[in-house]
Amino acid sequence: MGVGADRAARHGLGETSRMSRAVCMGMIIVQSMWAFRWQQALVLATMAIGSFGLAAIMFLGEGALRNLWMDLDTLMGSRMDVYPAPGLGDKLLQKRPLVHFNIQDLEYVREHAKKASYIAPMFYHRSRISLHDIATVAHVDGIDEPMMKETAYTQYMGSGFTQEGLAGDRMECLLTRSMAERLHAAAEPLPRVAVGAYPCQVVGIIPDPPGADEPLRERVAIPYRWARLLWGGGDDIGAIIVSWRSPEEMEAVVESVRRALDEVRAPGAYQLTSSRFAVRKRKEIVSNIMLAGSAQSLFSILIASIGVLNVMLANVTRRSREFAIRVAVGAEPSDLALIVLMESVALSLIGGLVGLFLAVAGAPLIIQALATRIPEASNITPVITMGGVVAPLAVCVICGALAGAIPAMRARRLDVLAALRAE
Amino acid sequence: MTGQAPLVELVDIHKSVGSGDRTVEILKGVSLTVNAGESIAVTGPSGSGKSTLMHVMGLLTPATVGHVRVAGERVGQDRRKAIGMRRMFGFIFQDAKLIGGLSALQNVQAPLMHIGVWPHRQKKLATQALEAVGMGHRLGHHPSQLSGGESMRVAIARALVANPSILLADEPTGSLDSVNGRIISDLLFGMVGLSTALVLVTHQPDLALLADRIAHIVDGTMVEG
Ligand SMILES: Nc1ncnc2c1ncn2[C@@H]1O[C@H](COP(=O)(O)OP(=O)(O)O)[C@@H](O)[C@H]1O
Ligand SMILES: [Mg+2]
Repeated sequence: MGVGADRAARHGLGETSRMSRAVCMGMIIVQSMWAFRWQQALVLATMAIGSFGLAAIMFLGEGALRNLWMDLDTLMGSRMDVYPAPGLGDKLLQKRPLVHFNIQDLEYVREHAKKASYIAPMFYHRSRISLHDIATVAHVDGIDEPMMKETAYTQYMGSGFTQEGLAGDRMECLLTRSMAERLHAAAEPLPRVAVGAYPCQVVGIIPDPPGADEPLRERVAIPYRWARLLWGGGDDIGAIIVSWRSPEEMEAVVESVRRALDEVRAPGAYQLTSSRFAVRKRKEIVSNIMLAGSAQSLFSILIASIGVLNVMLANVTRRSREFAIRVAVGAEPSDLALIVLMESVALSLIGGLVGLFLAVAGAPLIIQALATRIPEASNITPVITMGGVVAPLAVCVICGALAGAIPAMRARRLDVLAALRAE
Repeated sequence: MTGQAPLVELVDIHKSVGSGDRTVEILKGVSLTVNAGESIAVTGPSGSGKSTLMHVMGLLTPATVGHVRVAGERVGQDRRKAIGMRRMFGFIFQDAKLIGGLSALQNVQAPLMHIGVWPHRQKKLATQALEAVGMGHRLGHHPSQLSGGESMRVAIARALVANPSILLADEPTGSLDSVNGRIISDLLFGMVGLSTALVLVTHQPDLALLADRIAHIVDGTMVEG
């Protein structure tokens, strides 16, 4: 208990407490913020701009991410891959273990998913691939005819599978770009490589699966017919590829495939995946854009903080008379430091809130503006997330505190007598 | 014994400012005792160190040599102690020194805010203090809307509001006409009572004569009269 509190009680000023002192400090801060509102409007505005940018980028980015998932079927994958999930459901239902699908599974699914645009088998196998003295082990995908129309297999350098190849008269293959680079096989005329022990004419170079991890980028595609001849002991199929015509039909197709497989195999004995690589890649792009935008906004908040620092320093100088008077009427130097620090934080927080409000209100307008240049942008609905609200405010408060610290120290060390003498 | 201790005792105060070759000794061994209920006038030529004496006495700056005793307690270089004891004093400056952005009421509330008095009580006490100096009708006015005499009355209310034991007034009538000067000096001397002492710096002999004692300062040394 300080002398001040002691005296306050003695001289009819009423009880003082930690609580009453906190209330008073709040009053002083509000009072002086109001008294100096025009000088401080600048701080508020700069903080608002930074917070606006950060919040807007987060709201829009989240919207774009969600949009990405919804649009997936229209843009990328009107197709899913069904893989066996060995072991899981089989134990529960005492059916035969599922390591591969077989021809019967395929036929069953084909019968029950009539709405699919195609249902094709795929066989994949790891095999030694070599050209001259370079050799590697890679995935070989045996792809069936309908799949060859997919963009992944049509954007190639070279001729693609020929009629001869499709008919099984000649063994042909497509290499991904990574594979071709590994084998130094990317130049015309395209060479022959050895797939396992079999010589195989390269007829095209196709793009790497987007977003795939390094080892999965080196791939070879051969006609399904060949793959089965080489490795497909009996009726086994590696995966079943199911495609649909339009997003509206997707649900029905997926549902019918599920039902068929649940019957012929067991629930959980297989897994559905849809254009995994493509999704991951696009997500990466959106995340990177968000990151870049956030970094930029953070940067602008940092710049704003320098502005805050500057304005608060100027305020301390301008208000040295006021501060000296406050000391003369009973303020402690630490009160002055607290006033400056809290004002800086409060201003930054209010600026942050203003920016946040503008971002919430303005995000749809940004999308409208974007849509005049990028029509796809009109599909994005901004999503207000917890992170998008908290992050800008937190950044503003932290920057406000940092920017207020130096002026606060200066206020604390104020030369009261000099400030009182100066007029 | 503390009940009989003087309110403030200045013991052989020396005060220098600046450093090295530029050191200036403003006070050169001043001693002064202020008892409760007493009024003291401090006179002396301009630049003799009167204001500096007030600042040292009011614990706004420490003495270079010597010490101040407040209510029997010695305040040395201990800053925290000085800060706590400072609230025993009410300062009044020549130019009122009101805070520009705040109303009269807010100016008078300021000392209470720094002590941490609850807002409702603050408002009541500040209004009472302003009424006591005849400014109850100008609560919401800002310093720019007040005359010199009115500003000084607000300053007095601000110095009194937290019930100080000693009023330190540094030429409060220096820039006022005689009518206003009279009002202010009446107010100040009217405040002196059992528990409140007044130390008044003034150039005006008639004003000094109203005080119980006169301390005359010449070139940093005291010539008590
Ligand atoms: N910080 C300082 N640096 C240098 N000289 C000072 C300082 N403060 C006061 N002085 C000088 O000390 C002398 C006494 O000042 P002051 O106490 O204000 O006198 P008074 O109030 O009696 O006119 C003056 O000559 C003044 O110029
Ligand atoms: Mg003076």
